[in-house]
Amino acid sequence: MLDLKLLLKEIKEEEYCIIKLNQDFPSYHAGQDLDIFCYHPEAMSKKILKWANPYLSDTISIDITLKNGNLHLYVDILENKEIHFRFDLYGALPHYQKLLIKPAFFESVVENRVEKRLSNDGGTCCFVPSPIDDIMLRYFEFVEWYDVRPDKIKHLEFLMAELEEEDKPQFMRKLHHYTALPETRYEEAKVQHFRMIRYVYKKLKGKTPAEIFSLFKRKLFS
Amino acid sequence: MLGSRIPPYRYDYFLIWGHGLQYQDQIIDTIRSHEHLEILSLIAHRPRSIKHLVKCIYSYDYAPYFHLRSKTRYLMTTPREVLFIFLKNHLPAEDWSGENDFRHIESATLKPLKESLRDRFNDRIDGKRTEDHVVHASDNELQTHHILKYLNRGGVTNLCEKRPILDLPNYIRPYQNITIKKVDIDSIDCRILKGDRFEFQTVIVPIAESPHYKSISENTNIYEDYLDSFLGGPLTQDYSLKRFLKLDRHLDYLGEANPTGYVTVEEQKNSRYLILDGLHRASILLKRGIKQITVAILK
Repeated sequence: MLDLKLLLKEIKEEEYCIIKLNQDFPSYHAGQDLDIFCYHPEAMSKKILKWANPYLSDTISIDITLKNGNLHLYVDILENKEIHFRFDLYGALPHYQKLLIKPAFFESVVENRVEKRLSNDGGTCCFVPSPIDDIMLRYFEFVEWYDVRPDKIKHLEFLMAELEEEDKPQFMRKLHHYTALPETRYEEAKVQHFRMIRYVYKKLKGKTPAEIFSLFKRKLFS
Repeated sequence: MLGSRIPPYRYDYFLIWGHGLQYQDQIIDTIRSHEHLEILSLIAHRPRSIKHLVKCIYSYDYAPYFHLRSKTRYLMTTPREVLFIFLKNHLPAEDWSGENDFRHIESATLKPLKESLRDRFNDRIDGKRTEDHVVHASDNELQTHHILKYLNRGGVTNLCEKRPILDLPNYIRPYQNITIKKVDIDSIDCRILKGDRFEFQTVIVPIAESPHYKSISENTNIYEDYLDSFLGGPLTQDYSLKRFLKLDRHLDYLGEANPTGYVTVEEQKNSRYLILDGLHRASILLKRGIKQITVAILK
């Protein structure tokens, strides 16, 4: 239904990079999304709206959600109030919990983007991450969702298949430059434990034994 | 000239004193037609006293207030109502002016316009222009910023602030979600004003009962009278009948020139919508017989 090739023509002057591009693109199936890194998410969203306006009807509407100080936007094309297609626009790196990633990696991805000619249309092209950046992004996804989404294993399989032996040193160099491991869970637990002790101490400070007993009794049976 | 330090634009203001308000429309038209000036906001103001306002205006002047007291004495007898016209000056052309202790920087774009307005509208005695000026203009952007703060309008950053995606004026409340969809134009209401620019109430009516719609379908005087009552008060944008009629002739709703220029609404009870921005456009579309329009609904 949606002519995504037309959208690519509309945004060709924008500084953007489509990450995790599906191999069937610009074909798609309902419910799919497109993740885009761009320097100006607002400007990008306006171009998407301009392209999407002709599709509006009694059953088709558009939803825009602003998050993270307008650095992260969702532009959803809805059909009968269900998401038909989503544009996930990022003006900065998404937040990862399992890895610490330098914010400058975002600019590195956009600046080092490469042009991809779409296989089923000789004239249309889009911009995607360089091979190394693409593998790094898939690696981040794998680490982030390792214990939650078993289907994210596809990113690790892709990584193992795509990473050439001669690219490994550059991949490792870039990975070590832009990432670090966060504090371990044990360290987090220690900090939380200490905070709890400090909280309880403040609550009990200056109270008589009878008042303390009464407080515990209230907490236990409330 | 200041060479590479000349900014690409800056924010200035004109002030029409009480005795000049009779020429308000002509003064605003002159400023509006200047190729390098863009009117952003018009604010009518009733100070607690003219003396207090004069002191405030000139407290940021390059000359000390005691020097200006004789020059501003005539203002003490003028009506206690003024109009501020805030503008974006696209060609500041800042340059030095004046001599000795009063040497200061001012805009070479504003200065001749200010003098021309004074030549046209200042009182004359024996054919000679008096120095009882009907207009005052800012020398620099800092003065504009301080006057905006005096008027409780935030400052120059608030003057040009727009809401994201839709570029809405900053009097629209902040939003996190927008829905774009087609709605029946008959399900849309608007707020119109009653009273005057200093004491007013709002009333919710269908678009067809608004002075905007009535003026382009019945009598253009209705809109002019509406602006006369409220411009500078609750209406602070640069509205004019001329611009409205031009929009009526040329509006290409969501066309190439402005594909995201949606009429913006918020949803009300009983499946109706209330216009937040775009009443002029909605009136024109209703007059053209459009049954359904694409709107942006803020949440």
